[in-house]
Amino acid sequence: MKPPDPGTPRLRDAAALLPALALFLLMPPVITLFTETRTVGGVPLIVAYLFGVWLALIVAAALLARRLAPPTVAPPASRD
Amino acid sequence: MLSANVVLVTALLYVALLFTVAFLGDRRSRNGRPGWLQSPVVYTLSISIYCTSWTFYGAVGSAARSGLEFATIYVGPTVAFIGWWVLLRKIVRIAHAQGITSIADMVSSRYGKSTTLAALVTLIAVVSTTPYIALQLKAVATSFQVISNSGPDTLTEMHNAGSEYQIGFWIAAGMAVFTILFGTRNVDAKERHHGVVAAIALEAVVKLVALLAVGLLAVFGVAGGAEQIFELASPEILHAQDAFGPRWVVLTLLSAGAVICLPRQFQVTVVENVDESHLRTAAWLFPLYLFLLSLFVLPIAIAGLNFLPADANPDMFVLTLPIWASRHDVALLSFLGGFSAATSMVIVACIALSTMISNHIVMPLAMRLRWVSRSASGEIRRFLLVSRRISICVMLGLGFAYFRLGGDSEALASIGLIAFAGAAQVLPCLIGGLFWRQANTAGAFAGLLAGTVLWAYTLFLPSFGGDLVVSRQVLDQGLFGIALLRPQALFGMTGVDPLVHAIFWSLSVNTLLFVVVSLCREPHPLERLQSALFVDVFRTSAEATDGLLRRSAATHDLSVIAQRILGVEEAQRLFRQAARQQGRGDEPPLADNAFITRLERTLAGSIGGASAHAMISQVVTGETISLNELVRIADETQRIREYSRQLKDKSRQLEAAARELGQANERLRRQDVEKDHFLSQVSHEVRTPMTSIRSFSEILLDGRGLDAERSQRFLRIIHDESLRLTRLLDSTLELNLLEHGEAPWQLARITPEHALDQAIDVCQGLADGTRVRLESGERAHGAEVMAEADRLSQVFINLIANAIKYNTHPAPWVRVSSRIRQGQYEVRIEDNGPGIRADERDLIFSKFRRGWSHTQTATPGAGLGLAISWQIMRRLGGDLALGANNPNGGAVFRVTLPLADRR
Repeated sequence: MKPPDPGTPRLRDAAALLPALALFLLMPPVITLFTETRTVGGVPLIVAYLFGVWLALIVAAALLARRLAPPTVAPPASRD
Repeated sequence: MLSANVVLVTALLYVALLFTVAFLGDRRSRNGRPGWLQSPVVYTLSISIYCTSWTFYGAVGSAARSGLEFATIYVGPTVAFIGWWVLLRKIVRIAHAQGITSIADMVSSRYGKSTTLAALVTLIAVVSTTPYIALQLKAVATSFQVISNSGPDTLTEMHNAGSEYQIGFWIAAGMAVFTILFGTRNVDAKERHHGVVAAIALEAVVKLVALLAVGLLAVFGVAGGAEQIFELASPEILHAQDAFGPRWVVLTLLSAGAVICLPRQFQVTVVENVDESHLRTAAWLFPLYLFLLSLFVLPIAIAGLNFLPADANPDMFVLTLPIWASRHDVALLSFLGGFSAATSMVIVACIALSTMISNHIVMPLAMRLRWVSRSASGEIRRFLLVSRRISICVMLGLGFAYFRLGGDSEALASIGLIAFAGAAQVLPCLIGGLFWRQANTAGAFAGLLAGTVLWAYTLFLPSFGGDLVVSRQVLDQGLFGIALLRPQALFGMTGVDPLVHAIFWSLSVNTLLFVVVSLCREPHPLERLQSALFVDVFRTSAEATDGLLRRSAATHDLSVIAQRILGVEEAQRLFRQAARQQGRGDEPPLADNAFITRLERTLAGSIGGASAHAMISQVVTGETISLNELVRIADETQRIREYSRQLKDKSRQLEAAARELGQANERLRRQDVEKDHFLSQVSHEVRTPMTSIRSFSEILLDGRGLDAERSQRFLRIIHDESLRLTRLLDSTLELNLLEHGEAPWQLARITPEHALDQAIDVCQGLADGTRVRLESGERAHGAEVMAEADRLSQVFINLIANAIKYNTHPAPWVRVSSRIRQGQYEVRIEDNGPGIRADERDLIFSKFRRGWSHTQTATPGAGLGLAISWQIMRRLGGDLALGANNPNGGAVFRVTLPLADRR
């Protein structure tokens, strides 16, 4: 039979839904909420929001990817 | 100021470095010690060829012109990669399982290994990539001119067209050499080019470092800090209010699709992938790379807008800013970064496209036109390599031609997005094919064709501007003057950004036709097999599907093909290995279904799935797909359901068995109680006569004052009680024997009337002692039964004696009658006594019951008589039953025995 799926079902679902969350946060109308001309620490709000969310998504993806490692580290396929 | 010579020497040294890295990488992997070459980091860096010189230079230009819109090109791929679990993982898994060599190969392989589909995808790829290559050439040529021409004119772009074209030509030639050298050394079975990947990874690092250097210069060197840089920016720079409209959405999604289906991206992400787990690292590392790259785009744009002359070209800010700031080291680094971005894209694009052209256009043509002779081995490999090298030169030639002819027009600036849009036409049939089983070739072809035509009409051709292909008139008034067919306002959709407009129409018509035509057709067997293999790739193992396609072929024919494509050595090794696996020792392997499929997959790694399938089909016969097996393999849910149903059945059976065990346990417990009851009853019955015997014996032993008559009487009582005890014990023993069927009986053919007469005679004596009249009713003569005469007699005597003994009527009678009824011999014994009470009817045949206990009679019985009679009748195969009380109120007993068969 096939090897078991890595991670738990919840982790797998989270990994599948992360891009949807990304789109939700970075597409209008949500992103247009941050277009006022304000600054956060000298940086315009929209810039801080965009890059902040971006970085947060990267961190989330990194954490998920680590948890979704397959249970055993198999050597590369013998065809190589 | 930098002189042209310095720049030239630096560039050449850099190119030499690239060649060295590629050479070392190739040699390392050929020696079998890939090491860091196959690490996830190198893999991720190679994916970064997504950032070409268009993004290296053009991102800042876009930021300066349209604010935050530049971010979409980076955000899209971020979304695509952090969503690796959903899409990329499946693509990579399928590619490993099927030996996919390019995106055209993947599409054609999914749709029944169709050659036409592969050719169409290849054509689209070539058409949309050629302008992109021209853009890279232009970027390098322009940047070289900018950095090497001294003087204040540098900052505004001074075009020396002639020299620009010369530079472009030499760069194209150099990249051709590099690509041919390292991209087409041999026809690797899995189309992997480790040396090229190493060089690409180095270039990715140079790109990042260069842009970061310029960015840091802009923020800290020029402006003096992060806060200061944004103070310089007027808020309108960000265009925040209009940036987030439909164009934002379309560009993001378009970039997300492009990072998957651009030919060069597919090559590095899917084809060059050696280990699926590298995807996990790329999932966050590549977005991080994009993040870092885009971090300083805005600051550079702001600095450029503020410090450089107003007519300076924003696309060149990355280069002109360090020049203006007199930081020539950073400028040189920036030039190298742009150079890296351009060359890495061109190299990988040429490799990907040459593979596609040779596998999906040249190979099928060659087979059809019989350019390749059937005799020589290794010829196909040589042919393939030559065709690939020619393709590379052709691609670069086309790119240069496009650059030369359309170098100055607007076309080049917007070509990046146009190329994305063209490549995106593959998305519906690619993604649909991964998840929808019903998707078939006709639908994919229809959608792809329609989408491409619309893309060309609304975006590609108008981009040439002027009157090159699409005249101004058509642009304004529509094809043939029909207003609804205006290229940028199709069917009346006006006022929409041209890119959004084109994407909308091309992708929606594409998807619509794909879905509708797929639904209208039944898939062919091969299509069905491939669709199951693709859609269910996570649920089935490759080995399980090897034998699904039923074919037969001669091993010799197959080995000829293998040698022609893989080379003699490799083919022989493959066949020897297969023979060993099949246990055939030194003999050639048997060409069974699994072997043919595996061989086809190996060949597909070299010439693409469609061509491999076509070649194998030339020598196999009787290709049928075993539908049952396909259903069995692909329908794992059905199997699981079956299994769980079996489990349920089994658990039901277990429950039933447990219930029965429980009931048996109950029965045993009851019988245990009954046995105890029986024992206590027996001991009670025994005690009474024993008490009499003991007391009378004691009196006799005592011997005082007993006269002879009294002694005689006491002795008689003792004797009688002993007899009673003996009778009781005999009855108990007899009942026990009867119940457990120990003693076998000899059944004989007898006349029951004789037994009945005998019983009547015996009881007559008893009846004479009482006032009971014993009558005989109607009698059945001539009946014969299988029975034991004595036992039968015993039953009759017991019943008649009971009737006599317990009859308290003043004028008592007992009537005995017999008859034959329904094949049974039936005896009725009735009396006019008190009858059996209703509450005692059920218990009359139990042990130790005296149904007449309410009567006071002189003769006590043991209470076992009826039980014994009942057992005897059962053993004889008949029955003893209590009838309803007769009209006189007396009891009626019925004895039945089946008649013996007539001889």
